[in-house]
Amino acid sequence: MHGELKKYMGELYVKVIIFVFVISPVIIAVLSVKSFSTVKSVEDSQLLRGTEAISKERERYQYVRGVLDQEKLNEALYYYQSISLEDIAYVELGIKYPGIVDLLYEAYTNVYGEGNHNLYDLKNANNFYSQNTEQIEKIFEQQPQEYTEWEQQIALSRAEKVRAPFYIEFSRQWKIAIKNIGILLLIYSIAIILIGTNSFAYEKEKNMELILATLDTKKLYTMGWQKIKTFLLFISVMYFVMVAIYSVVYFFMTGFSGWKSPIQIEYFTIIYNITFLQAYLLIIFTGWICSMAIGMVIVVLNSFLQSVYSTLAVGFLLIYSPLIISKFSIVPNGLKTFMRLQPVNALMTEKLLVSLHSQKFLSISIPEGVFLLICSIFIIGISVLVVPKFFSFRINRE
Amino acid sequence: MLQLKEIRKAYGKNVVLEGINLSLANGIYGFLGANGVGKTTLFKIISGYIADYTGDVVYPQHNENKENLMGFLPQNFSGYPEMTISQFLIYMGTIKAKISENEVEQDVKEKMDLFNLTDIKDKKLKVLSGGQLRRVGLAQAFQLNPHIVLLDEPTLGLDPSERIKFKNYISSAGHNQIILISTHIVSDLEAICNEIYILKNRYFVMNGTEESLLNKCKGCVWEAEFENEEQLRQFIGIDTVSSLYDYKNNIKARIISTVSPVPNAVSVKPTLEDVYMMNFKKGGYV
Repeated sequence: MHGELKKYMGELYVKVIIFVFVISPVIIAVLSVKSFSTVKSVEDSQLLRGTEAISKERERYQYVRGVLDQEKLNEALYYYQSISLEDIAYVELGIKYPGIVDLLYEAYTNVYGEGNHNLYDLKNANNFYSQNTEQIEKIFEQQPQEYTEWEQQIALSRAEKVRAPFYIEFSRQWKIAIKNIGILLLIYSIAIILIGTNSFAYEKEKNMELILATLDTKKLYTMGWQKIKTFLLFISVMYFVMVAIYSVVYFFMTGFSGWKSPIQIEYFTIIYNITFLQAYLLIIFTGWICSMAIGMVIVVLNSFLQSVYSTLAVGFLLIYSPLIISKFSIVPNGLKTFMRLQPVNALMTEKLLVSLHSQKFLSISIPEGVFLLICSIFIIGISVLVVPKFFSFRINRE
Repeated sequence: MLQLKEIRKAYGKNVVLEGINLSLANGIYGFLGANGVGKTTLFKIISGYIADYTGDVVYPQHNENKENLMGFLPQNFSGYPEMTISQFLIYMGTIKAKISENEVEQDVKEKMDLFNLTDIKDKKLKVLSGGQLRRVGLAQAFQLNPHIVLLDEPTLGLDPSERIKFKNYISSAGHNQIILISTHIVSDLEAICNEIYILKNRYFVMNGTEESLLNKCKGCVWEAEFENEEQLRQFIGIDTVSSLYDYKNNIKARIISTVSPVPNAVSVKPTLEDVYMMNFKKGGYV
């Protein structure tokens, strides 16, 4: 494995990729912290930015921090209704009852369709915790082709089981952290495609295939295995280094508050009982598995094509096209589902969490995100079996 | 014993090799031929790199796990540029046979000493000179003492002392291994080969021991003196001029011809170079 690693590490482009891996999480963390903003006060509409804004927001959350019960919700609602101008009401509520204003909007306004866009007609917020099913039904009404009857039932029954009441505290940084993991995954996926395109064509590029052809199939097989192990280890280490750098830099600046709050306080219609920390770890884990699957698809191509440029062209097309194809309305639902289950979808971190789709696996209904993981593990498994065969076959053939 | 039976290889309609039969026991075998005549193709077939050919290659019996069947030094060897010499040889050793790391390291040490690489073992392959890289290629080809060693233009870039060292080494190694050398540097094969094969137009046109090949040319090599080039040019196109040099204000020419080319020509002892010229260079060097 040391020898295989040596081959990677020496290449200039790999050194550049490692540099990008180290620097990009720092840049993304710093930029996203700088993008935080909040108004200074009701009287002063000047915007505070960066860590100053975070401190201010955290300070404001002290007032609402704790269990979000009916009393607190109604108090916020009535305060809102006491201000006649909607824009001002929204801003003031955001200052006095941070977090709650957005939750009320998500729960009671027609954010997913036409109709009421303010809270003035609302009598009380007593049914707040059952509003998620109402809103989810509206999503289904808006996109009737998107979800099967079975998926709708599963989503609604899961929505009913969302634990209440919520524990509210400053957690906006988690929402941005989850989005940023998606950006990091995009950079990372490009990097592993670049690394993967040379992993099995390397011998041909260096005219070593003539020497390797003298080895019997078993030895080439072993070499193929070593290459896979090194590749997966290398990209995994790079991934966790990148995520670790990002997490340390980002949370050092934003703080860790809200880690045990349910994710619904930022994404009201999510149907799973998970906290922000669990969601963050889940996204990281999904990203890791799916990235390895992306890497293995590239390695399969590379071991078969034995060419850097053709692997690069076919690889980019194969990996990223599902993101585009699944967006076209003319694409049949079956194909859309297939495209949604390709590993590249791990890049869409928020979309994965808020997804209302489910899939059947061994007659058990499972969330689509989990099914995506199963598909990726399946891709890795198949690739691991196929790659050494392709490698030994292609080395010995002209 | 390495056996090649009725080997035929064509690239499309272009037949490169045909009716190649060989039966090689331990020893050194030289393959002479002009560029593009099919020597490298023949080596690629033996190495297993080319699978699309007709005929059979039968390899010596060996233990696949413990032993290294074949070592190959290709013409355009570059290795893994980012590895140092010792890293490269250890890496190649570990993939060539399932033996302990100690055994690999011991063999690497031995080969580095043999090919004069010990002092530069920590240099990366990418910074080596052509000759140094060739020596690394030779060391890897002989790693773990394979049954068969294929050397395609092995002395390319080696200086004269390294050439002599190389010849000495393979002379001793040839007792236990089947060593095949493909070259067009005729002197590389002098005095070391058990048998020499001359490849031309798809076939072996001549083969045998060095002595038998030289015997075949006996009486066909002449040396003659010419006063000027004008006089010499009369022979161009009729006989092959093997070599030319100035001699006491005259031009001395070595001519391949079945009969005495000029009245004053003296029959001389042929060399391997003359054998090669006889087969390939109509018109010779003039």
